[in-house]
Amino acid sequence: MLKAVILIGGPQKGTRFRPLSFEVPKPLFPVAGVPMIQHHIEACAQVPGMQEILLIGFYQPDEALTRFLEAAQQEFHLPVRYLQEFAPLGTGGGLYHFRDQILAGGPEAFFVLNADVCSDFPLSAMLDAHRHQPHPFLLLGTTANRTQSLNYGCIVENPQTHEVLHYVEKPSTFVSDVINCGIYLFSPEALKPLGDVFQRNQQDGQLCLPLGEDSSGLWRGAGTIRLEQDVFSALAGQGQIYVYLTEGIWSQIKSAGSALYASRLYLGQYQLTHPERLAKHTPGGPRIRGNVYIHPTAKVAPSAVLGPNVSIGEGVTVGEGVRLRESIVLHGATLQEHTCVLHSIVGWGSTVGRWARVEGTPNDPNPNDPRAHMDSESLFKDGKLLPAITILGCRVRIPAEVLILNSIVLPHKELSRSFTNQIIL
Amino acid sequence: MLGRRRPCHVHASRLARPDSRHCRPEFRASRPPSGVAYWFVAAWDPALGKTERTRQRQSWSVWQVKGAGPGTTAGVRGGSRPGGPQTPRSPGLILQPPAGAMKALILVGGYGTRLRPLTLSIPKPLVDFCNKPILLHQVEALAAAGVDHVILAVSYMSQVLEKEMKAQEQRLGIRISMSHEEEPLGTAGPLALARDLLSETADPFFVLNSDVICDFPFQAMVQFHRHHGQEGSILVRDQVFLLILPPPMPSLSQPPALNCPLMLWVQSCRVTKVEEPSKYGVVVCEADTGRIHRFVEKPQVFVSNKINAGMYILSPAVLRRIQLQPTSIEKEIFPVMAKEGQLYAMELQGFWMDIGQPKDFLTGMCLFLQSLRQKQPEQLCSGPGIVGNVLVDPSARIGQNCSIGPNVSLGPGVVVEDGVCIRRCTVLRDAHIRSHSWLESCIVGWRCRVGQWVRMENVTVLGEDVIVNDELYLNGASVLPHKSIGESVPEPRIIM
Repeated sequence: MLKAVILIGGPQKGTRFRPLSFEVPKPLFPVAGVPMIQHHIEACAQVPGMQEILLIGFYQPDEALTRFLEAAQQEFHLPVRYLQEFAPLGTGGGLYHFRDQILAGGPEAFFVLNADVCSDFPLSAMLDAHRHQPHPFLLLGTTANRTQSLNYGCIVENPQTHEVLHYVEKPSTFVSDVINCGIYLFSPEALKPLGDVFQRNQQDGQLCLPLGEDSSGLWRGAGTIRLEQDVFSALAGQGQIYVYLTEGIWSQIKSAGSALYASRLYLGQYQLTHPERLAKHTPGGPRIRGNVYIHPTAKVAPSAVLGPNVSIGEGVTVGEGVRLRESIVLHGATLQEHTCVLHSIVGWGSTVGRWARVEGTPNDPNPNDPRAHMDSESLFKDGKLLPAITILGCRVRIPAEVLILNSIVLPHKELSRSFTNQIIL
Repeated sequence: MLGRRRPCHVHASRLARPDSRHCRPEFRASRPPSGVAYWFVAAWDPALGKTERTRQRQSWSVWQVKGAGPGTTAGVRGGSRPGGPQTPRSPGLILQPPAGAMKALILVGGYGTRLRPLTLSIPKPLVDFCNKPILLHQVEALAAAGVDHVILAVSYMSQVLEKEMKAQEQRLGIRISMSHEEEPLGTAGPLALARDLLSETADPFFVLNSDVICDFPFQAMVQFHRHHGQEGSILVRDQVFLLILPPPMPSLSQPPALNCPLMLWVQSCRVTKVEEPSKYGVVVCEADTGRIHRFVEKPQVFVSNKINAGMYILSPAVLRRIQLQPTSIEKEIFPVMAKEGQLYAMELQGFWMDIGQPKDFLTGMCLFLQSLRQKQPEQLCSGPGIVGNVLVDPSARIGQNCSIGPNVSLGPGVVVEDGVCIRRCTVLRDAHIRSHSWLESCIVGWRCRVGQWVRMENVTVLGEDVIVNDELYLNGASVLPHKSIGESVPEPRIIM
């Protein structure tokens, strides 16, 4: 019997995902047509013996989340429950806090998945490895190039045994090109070291020792446990942590730009996993180039040309002669005739006028480097906005015939002219 | 700013030095084409001064061109190449125009560098402005005003120009001859070069800068000139400091905002400073008679808002003031004439534009089309998808669901596919604009292919036969001929 825990974080997290995270919790942002964490849940549900999926985070449960949970339970015939933390407890605090819920029913092991990753989730392979040689912690690892590895948790492994000898979160100098994917398989014993960290933190708290700030700048309360630093770094080299290396697709989804990239990866996966989700050219339908997702309720004019990597959400209207490439169009948006949308995310209910052009600049990983990942993007460099994908927030109105290039438009703006390289408050 | 702009002093010494580069091969050839030799001998007079001899040499091609018929350009170009003109012609034929008719000298001049990349393919006077070569606008207006002999003072790609103008000669029933200067002669020198032609009769003649477009008031100029009876008349216009451009047409999809619409309208007007105060020559004249007291070329301080429009009528007596050497009519001749009370100014009504560079070319097109709207509205296009003043050649084809205009001219053979939006553009002959593209303030060169969903704006100029791939954005790009563009140009630059 198996369980899975998905760490969905909370509203204080995911600020790099603004303005899209204003409207919907980031874990529910649609990537390749479905909410980000639905990809996780689908992967978990396919593992034989999966009994329950728990979401841990500190979002106030809202209507969107409730509806998502209900839909997921129905679709996968599994209990999918949300466990809300009383405070942000870090990546490990919630696991320890809800240990009774996780261990209820006596699972053989449980998966722990970060919500903000995109992957083909080789969960069955990890489970096989675990059953072959059980250890408390099994991490999914992948390779990165030397410079980019510094942005991730770096793993030094024993190449024969795959034991994790050394673990450093975001090192300042090169440690290893094997990085942590944020996807784990824990055995029930794994909660023991978490408990040790908790106890130690409690004692430190009673001694009024400052716990300091963690790397994200958040003040850590006594219940906070950072899986990476407090557990993996501490236990590395003690025969408890092992790594399973994957060559499959993997990317973080920190920013809107990486959501677009993840969308492309997932749409590619659909060829194998969900061919029915990929739009095909039908008589009287739009022209499709490459992998495209179109929600069944969307109205797309036959003279529109879509793809590659385009996701059209629920109730979207795409007018005659519209061109869409490398873009996500969210629920209820309208693209009027002859618009051209490239490398952009069009927010919920936004309208793009006739002959307008909405264009961004992709920051995709170097396609010639198989180990390259999305750069951890900062919006600015030397005080200047870096060219990136264009994002239209919720209910933005773009007038006819203007150009919106490399810009971020915050929700509910009505623009009256062209903008280039700007954040429009 | 008008007409030729090459530094004259550089060439002054060269002019007197008969080195081989500046000497037509015929002069050195042992056996020149007989037509040329004939005239050369006839004109040769040992008593002529050095300058005069240079003049003869300079003006030689005028006669040769006139003497030889169409198809003899090879002879002009290649000198004594076999197959050149062999038939002797009498130059006297040219030297006797019908009495009473007027002549005009158009300063065609230089390389037209300001209108590149278009002028890399053909000489500037032949670039179509509103579907008619720039030069032809003037020549036709001159012909309509009774001018029967137009002399083109040229220095660059004159063979192409000559061939083209030969075809017009018959159509318009006038004579067009070329006065080929081998050295840049400024704005006055070409008058001296064509002295013989211009002084045949006592009638005044027109002198025009070539890249000026307006409602040419040539007949009124003649009347004005005859009325005051002095040596020269120049056309002047009021200087435009600011141009207020109203916002683009509101589209149906975007109804105008209801709160304070006037304020919004004013806010969205664009105000452009169109002219530098010191860019042109200005005149100070008597308001009632037009008599010019002062003529100041490119003043540093404000003198007057009456500025030289680049069109003159001069009596042959003016020719005595001009030597055959690089001379600026604005700097050296007019100020003197003004001082002597020989120069009068006539005010131009209506629009005026120097269309020598792409930005002004487009502005001039807007003004010209508006003038056409008032005078010959039947020439403008109307119908579904046509907005405002649009000129479409009958052989151009426009697809469905387009929005063309305001201020667009589409040349012969142009194809505009479905769903294209074009505003304030000139599209030249045989260009092809593919579906769903959006163009504003562009000049699309001959035989260009603009892909689907392309956005071009901000005075993007495509030279001849440029290919713009699908979905690109060109902002103020200046693209040289025969290029294929595969990447967007987000900031204005030149694509070599």
